[in-house]
Amino acid sequence: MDLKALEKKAWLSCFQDGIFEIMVALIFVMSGTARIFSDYKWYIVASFFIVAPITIYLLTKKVSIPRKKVSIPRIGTIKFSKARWKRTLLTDALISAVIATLATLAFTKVITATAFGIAFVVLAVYTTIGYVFNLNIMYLLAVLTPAMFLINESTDSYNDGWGYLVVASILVVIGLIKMYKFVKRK
Amino acid sequence: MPRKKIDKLIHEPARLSIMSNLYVVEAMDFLALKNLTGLSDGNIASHISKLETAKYVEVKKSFKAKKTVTTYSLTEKGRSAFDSYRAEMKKIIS
Repeated sequence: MDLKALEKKAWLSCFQDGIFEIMVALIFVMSGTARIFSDYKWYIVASFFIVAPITIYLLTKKVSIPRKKVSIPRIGTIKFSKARWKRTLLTDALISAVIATLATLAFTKVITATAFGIAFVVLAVYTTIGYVFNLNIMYLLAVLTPAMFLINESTDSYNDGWGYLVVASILVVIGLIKMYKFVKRK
Repeated sequence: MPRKKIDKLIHEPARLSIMSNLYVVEAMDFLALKNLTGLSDGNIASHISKLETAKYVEVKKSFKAKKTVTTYSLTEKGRSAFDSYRAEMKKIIS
């Protein structure tokens, strides 16, 4: 009787709706948009710091509507153990730190100096998150995000904010396909 | 050394599935339990009722948006019974 596998199965059942992928994509959209618009007026960037938290809040609220209307009526609710929540909080803190670092680097444009280093760190951190969280999508992100940095580095012809949007688009497509399959199956 | 008797209440496959799924989490509602165990509504209800009578499972009913939500969790007695069952099974297998 593999209890770890059972717990993992219960945990993964909460991620079959594709909402996690779409949420991560939204963060990438915000980073990319900030990167694209930072070339224009300083107040656009400044206002982004005020607009971003509000937007995230609103998007989260909107995203939680499908969670309530689509996911919970189909998969129910599970209250996980405190040990799992400790791991989740730790991983959340890690994700937030990585996203905050990436956003800061995107704003300040220091990314050019250490693109390979950052790419390696992102690869390592995302792979760790994927392993701890049991989320295969993080392995894909671990490849896509550093690739995006390196592509941005090697091409000067376009604004590198588009790289974030490409990754976001891939995630949105994956999220929507997962959601479609989930709704059809249940 | 004489072996302890296997807990037949847990040993039945459907109840074992319910107990092991509840053991790895704190609590879950009816729908989640149904999805994870693959049992039918009637099966869950009848087996849960037996486990509840033995005080292995706690059943809580609440209301969310005018709908009844039934949540199941293992009691301390249920957890220790499951631990003992696992220990016994390990002894038998080894």
